[in-house]
Amino acid sequence: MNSLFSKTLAVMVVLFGAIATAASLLAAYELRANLLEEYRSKAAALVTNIAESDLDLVINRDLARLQSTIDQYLDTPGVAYVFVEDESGEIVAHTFVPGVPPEVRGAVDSRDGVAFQELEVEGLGSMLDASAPILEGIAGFAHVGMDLDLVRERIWRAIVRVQLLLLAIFAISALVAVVLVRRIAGPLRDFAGYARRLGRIDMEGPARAETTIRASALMRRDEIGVLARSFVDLEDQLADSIRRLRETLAAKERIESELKIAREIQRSILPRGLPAGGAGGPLALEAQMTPAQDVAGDFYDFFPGPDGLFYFAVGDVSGKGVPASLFMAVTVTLLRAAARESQDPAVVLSRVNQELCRGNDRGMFTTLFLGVLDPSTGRVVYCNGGHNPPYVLGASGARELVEGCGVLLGFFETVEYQRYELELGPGDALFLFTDGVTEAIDAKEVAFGDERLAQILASVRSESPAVVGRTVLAAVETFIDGAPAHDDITILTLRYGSSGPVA
Amino acid sequence: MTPGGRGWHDVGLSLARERTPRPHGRRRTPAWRALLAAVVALAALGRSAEAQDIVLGTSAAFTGSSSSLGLDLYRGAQAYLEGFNAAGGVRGRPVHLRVLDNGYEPGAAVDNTLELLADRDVVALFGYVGTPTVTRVLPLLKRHGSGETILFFPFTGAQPMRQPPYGHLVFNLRASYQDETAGLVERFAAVGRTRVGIFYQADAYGRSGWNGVREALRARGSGIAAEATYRRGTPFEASMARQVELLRDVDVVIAIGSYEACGAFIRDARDGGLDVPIANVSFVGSERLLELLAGISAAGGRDYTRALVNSQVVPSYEDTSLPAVREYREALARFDPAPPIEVSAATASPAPARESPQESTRENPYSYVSFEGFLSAKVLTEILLRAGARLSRQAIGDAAEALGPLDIGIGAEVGFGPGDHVGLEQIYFTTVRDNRFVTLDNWSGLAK
Repeated sequence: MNSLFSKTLAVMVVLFGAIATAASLLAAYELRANLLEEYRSKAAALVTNIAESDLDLVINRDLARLQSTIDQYLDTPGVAYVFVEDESGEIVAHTFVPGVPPEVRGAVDSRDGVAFQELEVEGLGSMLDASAPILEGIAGFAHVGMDLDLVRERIWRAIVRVQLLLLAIFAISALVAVVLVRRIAGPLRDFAGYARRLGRIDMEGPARAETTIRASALMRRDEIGVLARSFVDLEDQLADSIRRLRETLAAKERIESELKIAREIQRSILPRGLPAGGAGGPLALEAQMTPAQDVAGDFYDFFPGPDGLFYFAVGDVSGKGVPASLFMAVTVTLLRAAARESQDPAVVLSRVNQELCRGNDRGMFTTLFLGVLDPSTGRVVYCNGGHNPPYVLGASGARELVEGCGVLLGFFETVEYQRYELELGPGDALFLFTDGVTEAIDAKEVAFGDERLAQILASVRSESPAVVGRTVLAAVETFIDGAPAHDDITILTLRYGSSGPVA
Repeated sequence: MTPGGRGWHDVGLSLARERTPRPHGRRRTPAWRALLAAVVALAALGRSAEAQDIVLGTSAAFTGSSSSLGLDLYRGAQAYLEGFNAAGGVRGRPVHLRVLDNGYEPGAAVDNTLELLADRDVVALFGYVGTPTVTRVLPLLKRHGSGETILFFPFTGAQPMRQPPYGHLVFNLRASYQDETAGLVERFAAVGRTRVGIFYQADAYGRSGWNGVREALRARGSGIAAEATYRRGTPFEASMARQVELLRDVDVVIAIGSYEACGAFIRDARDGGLDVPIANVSFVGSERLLELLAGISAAGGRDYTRALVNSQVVPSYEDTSLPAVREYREALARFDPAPPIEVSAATASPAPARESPQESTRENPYSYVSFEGFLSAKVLTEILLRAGARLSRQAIGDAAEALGPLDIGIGAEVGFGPGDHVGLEQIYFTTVRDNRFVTLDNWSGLAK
């Protein structure tokens, strides 16, 4: 039994004990008072009767008849003795055997009326002596002794009976209380044990509610029943939640694994290195795409075209994650398909744009910079569909290729794209990137920025594309210093001419 | 059981239901037994309740610790009546006693008396025993439908029967306790024993004697030196040690009690080293007392009968110079009356009692009490003879009052008058010698 119930029971016991004690004390007090009062009035009546009715016997000294009369009073219950004293105080008639006790000889009397005195008489016990004057004391006094021990015995018997009754009631109540408490404590214990087990549920499955708890839930209408029903509901809901959690977990795992696969696919879409038998000597290219999440919206692409032309592109789909990656895959596919049809980048962009605008319920768009290089001349024809301008790295430094910025793809179906041209000298390079580079922010929310990029590019303008890429990436990484990646980062570095190092 | 033969008296005790002593005078109603007795008595005697029988009503102690008194008194009276009836009764009408037992309890006495008074055939009450019992029935004499009824010669010396307001309804044969106790106090004072202690029954009888002693001492200018009481009905086996202690410091003890209680007191006093003379009054039942004491004397090796003085109200039955004594002795020998029918109805037949070994060894068929009963019956029959043909209660009362000096053969005359309802005044003093009561002449042996 836990301490709450023990405490309650203890309080009950103490309370009941207090009540019982108070009740019996009050009963005893009342009883004693009432019985004594009755005794007194009885004694007063008797002694007055003797004093008044037997007056003539006393006066006439008819002691034999007086004795005969007072002997009759001994029949009255509670009367222990009777005696009469004459005017000189001598006891002329009494009922004592073997003799008049000394304690009685000094008993009080009063000429004014009935007088009482409690006496301890050896051999008789506690007595209430009542005296009455005969002829106002002139003829003497009559005394009647009432047995107080009798009253006390009756009081004690009554008290004992009251006590026994109270004790019996208490015992029964205690028993009932214990039974009732057990009826509560038992189920509560079960609930506690059950709750503990619920807490330790592993994913195998919850402990099914004990039959008793289920039974309580079904049968009882009291608080235990309510509690039982709550427990059963709790368990059912818990089982339900766990099941759904498992399902969600499984779904999540599935999605994660699929995302991994998607990432792989995406990676494989994008070309890794120059194709075997590619443009040859005068080209060096290094490209890299780092997704911010599992899959990216950024892309780059490069592939050879007809007549030895070399196509290269960089793009940035709006948004991030799976939607962007899907759009990115579509865009890349459309780009390659359109590039087979035309050598004019503007035409290619228009084509791709038109296709992208169709079936584009989500309103997604992408930037795209497409360049077509003629390796024999170093002439680059390009079209910029809303992409941040690349840098041209030459002997004089890094220059932003601002000319020819156009509109994003996927917005308007009927956009006219324009082509622009650029001459690359030997050893010149083109640095294409997405805004994940310049908009990389550190912990203080400062952006990497164009200036920084320009500086770095200027410093590595003569290096190989690999070095350039590595340097920029390292710089970005150092800059953000542990802050989470904000956007996909794509870099494509193309060097024309073999005057610089290849790798 | 006490040794030494109780014979006739044992019949009463052993045959009847033993009543336990009740100290506070609770009422008992042996009415059904009384009724049975009356019916059986009348039937057994072969005479129905015809007008010719003269019936006297008796309520006395025939059971209990004072049963000897009732039985003895009855025996003496019956002895006389049987002779009287055999000689013709009252002009051919026999006199019978209708007997009821009250066990020496006042309540029962009242019930008995009411019954007797209701019986039309009962012309007077006679043969009553005891102060508490008679005191309680006195008021009944006054108030009864058909006028007053007279109580003749109760076996008690107390005052209520001798003085107003009831004295005129009672005729007493014997001297009073006052006379007895005054005589004792006087005689003991004469031999120097002036510190008087009193051992008495805690009821009207004891109080009577107590008052007599007190008055006698007061007349001499002193008072009672010490007192001790006992409850009516206390048997001989009870201890009186506490009472003995209360009476240590006296020259003489006057005992107003029954033979059983006084016997116990005397035994415990002598055993306790209290050797002063102990005096008893006539009511004690001297012969029974002597039997009890003689019995333990033999067993205990101590003489418990020494230093005893018993006062009597009738002369000694040993004094054969008195005509009444001779008559008494003859009557007892001739008739040897059986105990009242009520008592013997409890046995198979009246005979066995007489043939019991105890009876045959009983030496003394006589007693002061039965002699008094004999004398009482003698006087009453004289009154009845003088009462005339119509024996109404009134006529009997008148005849009694008119009884002039009558010689009944005891050396003293008996007479009554309008203000004088006491027949005898002599007190006789006796003591024990050779296991018999003899007249006490020489008091010097009891001097301090």
